[in-house]
Amino acid sequence: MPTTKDILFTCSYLPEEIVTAAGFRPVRVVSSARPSEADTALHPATCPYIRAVYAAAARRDGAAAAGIVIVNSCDGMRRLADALAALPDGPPAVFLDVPHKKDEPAVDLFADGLGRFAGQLEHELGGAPVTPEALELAIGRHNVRRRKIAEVFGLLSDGALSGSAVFGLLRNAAQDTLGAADGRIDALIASARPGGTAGGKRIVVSANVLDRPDLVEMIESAGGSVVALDSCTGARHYEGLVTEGAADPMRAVAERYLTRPPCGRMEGIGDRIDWLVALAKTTRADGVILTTVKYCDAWLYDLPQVTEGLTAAGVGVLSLENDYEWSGAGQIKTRTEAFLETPGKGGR
Amino acid sequence: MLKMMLSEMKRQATEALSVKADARALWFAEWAKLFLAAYDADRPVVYTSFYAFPMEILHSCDVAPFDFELGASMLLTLPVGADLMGQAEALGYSPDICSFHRASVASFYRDYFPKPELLITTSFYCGGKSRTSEILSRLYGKPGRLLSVPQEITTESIRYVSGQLRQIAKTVAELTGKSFDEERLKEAVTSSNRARASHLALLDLLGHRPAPWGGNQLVNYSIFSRMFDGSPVLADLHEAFIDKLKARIEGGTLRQERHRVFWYAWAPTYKNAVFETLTRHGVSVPVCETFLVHWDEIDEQHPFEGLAIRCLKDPFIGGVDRRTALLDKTIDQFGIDGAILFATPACRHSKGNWEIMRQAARKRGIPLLVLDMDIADPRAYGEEQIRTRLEGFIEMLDGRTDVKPVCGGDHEND
Repeated sequence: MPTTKDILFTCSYLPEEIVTAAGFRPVRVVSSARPSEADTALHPATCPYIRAVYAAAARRDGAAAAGIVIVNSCDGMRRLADALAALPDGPPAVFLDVPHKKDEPAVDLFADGLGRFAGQLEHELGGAPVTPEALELAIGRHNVRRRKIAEVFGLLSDGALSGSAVFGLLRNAAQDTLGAADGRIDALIASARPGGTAGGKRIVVSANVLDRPDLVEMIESAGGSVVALDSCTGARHYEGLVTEGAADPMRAVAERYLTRPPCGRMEGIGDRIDWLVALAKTTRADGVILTTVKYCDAWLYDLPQVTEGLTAAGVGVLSLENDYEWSGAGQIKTRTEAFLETPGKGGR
Repeated sequence: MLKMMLSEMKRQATEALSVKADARALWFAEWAKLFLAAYDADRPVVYTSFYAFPMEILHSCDVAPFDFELGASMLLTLPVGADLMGQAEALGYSPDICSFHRASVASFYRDYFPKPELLITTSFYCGGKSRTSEILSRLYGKPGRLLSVPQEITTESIRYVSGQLRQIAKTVAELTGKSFDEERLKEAVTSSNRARASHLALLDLLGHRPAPWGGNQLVNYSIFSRMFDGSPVLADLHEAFIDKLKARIEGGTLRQERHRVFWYAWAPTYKNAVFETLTRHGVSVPVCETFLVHWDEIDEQHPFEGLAIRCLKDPFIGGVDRRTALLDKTIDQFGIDGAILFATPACRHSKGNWEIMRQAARKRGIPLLVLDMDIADPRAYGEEQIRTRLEGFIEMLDGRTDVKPVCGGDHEND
């Protein structure tokens, strides 16, 4: 359960270093509330994760947290920020705007915005001042985690760790303290068995919000291996380090977040395709399973061209839609199994 | 097909104007002329969002602007709409994304649109359109430019947006082989400021009881007229409508009116019973959120900064309070006793906060109807269901004893 030292967040574009430097623990919201519980507040044709986050806040799941940060991930998240601000008993909500581009002016703007965000953590949510020294320390700690996770991803790709184990780690890491997460990561690395899970179709799972292990388990139970987990709490979240020892650490943070592998909310469908093709190639994947929560425009618009790009690169693709709760698991399992049974590289 | 439609529109409007001066015919004639210019190969075609991107910049260059979404919306008034949806879905575009954008992509494959040299889009109003612009940019193999507009107005955000506008202006001018002429932009801004004054005068007239204009035509005009921002045409159009409405008011034959409703968001493109039902029951829509003037006069000496501020002040950026404040401001001026939020399913930014909007209206004693209906996909349209919802809402308005109906004549005032 969140405590007063926790800042809840819903998007991987939240710079965790700043939250850590302010003396808080960043805790990713994984909601057990049903999206439909939010339908009286947010339109039902809104992302189910967004509605589940609202529903959780409405029933005071995160009431003890110091606050919740909503990033301008998409139009829906912007509306969530409004809805949370109107909730009488919810945790204090802070809205963080993120540019849609990654060029120098965007980095400058974002760095400026992050400075003000740090001020909000201090003055509105009771955090410590985010000094350059505190920020540099936080950058170092989060980079340590990123390096460890990179090692985990390498072991996953080599078949030394199962997708289920890595998924569980990533989900816990999104909510653990840095120390506890580091401990779990080290334990998982120590448990790796080279060649242990090799065999079957090698599959990259690429998703936006993926808070349940259903798909990973389906792939493994059908005899496949998950060789990469590219999601909001997976590879995209951990790829790329913040430059340490920079003259302006806030700007270094801004640069890292804007230039790392993009989610669909950023400009650049081509960049997403390149990232996925490269990921498929470096992990020697036979196929990519793309899964999106319903109503996620950032993903749905791109899907045909992303699919085309992967197919042109010789990578089989399966697209699956989920409702965050994975209530259609039976049908999804059938389609996943069929994909894995396709001869050669998993095809459309 | 779109070109044929526009040509016919131009022909009919020109013919009507040859008989007598008429604001609506003038509007249609200018609209057709602007769109058709994009089909003539004599100038580079630049795609953009007419109602979001500062058109003053394009009107300062010798290019032919085109808005694929508005072009698609015109096609969607025809029976081809359902086919376009089906084609987009067959290509892998989810039925959960905006029907305008599905139609836009399908229109590319049918070669309905003129070929662009550059595609400019905006991060606001909306995210789906900016993504569609990028998709089309990749399909056409032509460069795209995104105007990314932050959610808050600060010194830094003004600098950021104006910097992007300068870069985009330079890129547009380069298409014509010339440098960008800032003096032409200042003239365009002067035109816009003149049009703004006329716009405010037009809004004043819409406050008359009974309303001399409104409904579907007003909603369409509010969006389609933005294509003339920066052109002298816009003030001329507003003035033409001012003359028309004054004549209607002075004529004393305006339609009987029992209720006056504020309209949020857009209107469906296909044949439907919405405004006919409202009209039949004496419900006027004298004002819509997209016709309100959310910006101050633009600084003519610093046009890029001035245009950046207008973008940053857009009600579809920032919190929902910007939109609820619009209703608040208009209730007294326009005698509003109800509100309708047109909730097309894929428009997350517009309809997401329906409950907050309903509560804000309720605080002012105004009932708000959330009308769930797709903007352009006719396949799910159920006429009787929509009539029933509207009639139920109207009964609710009728049941309010604190509202006095306004009477008038029987003139057709849309």
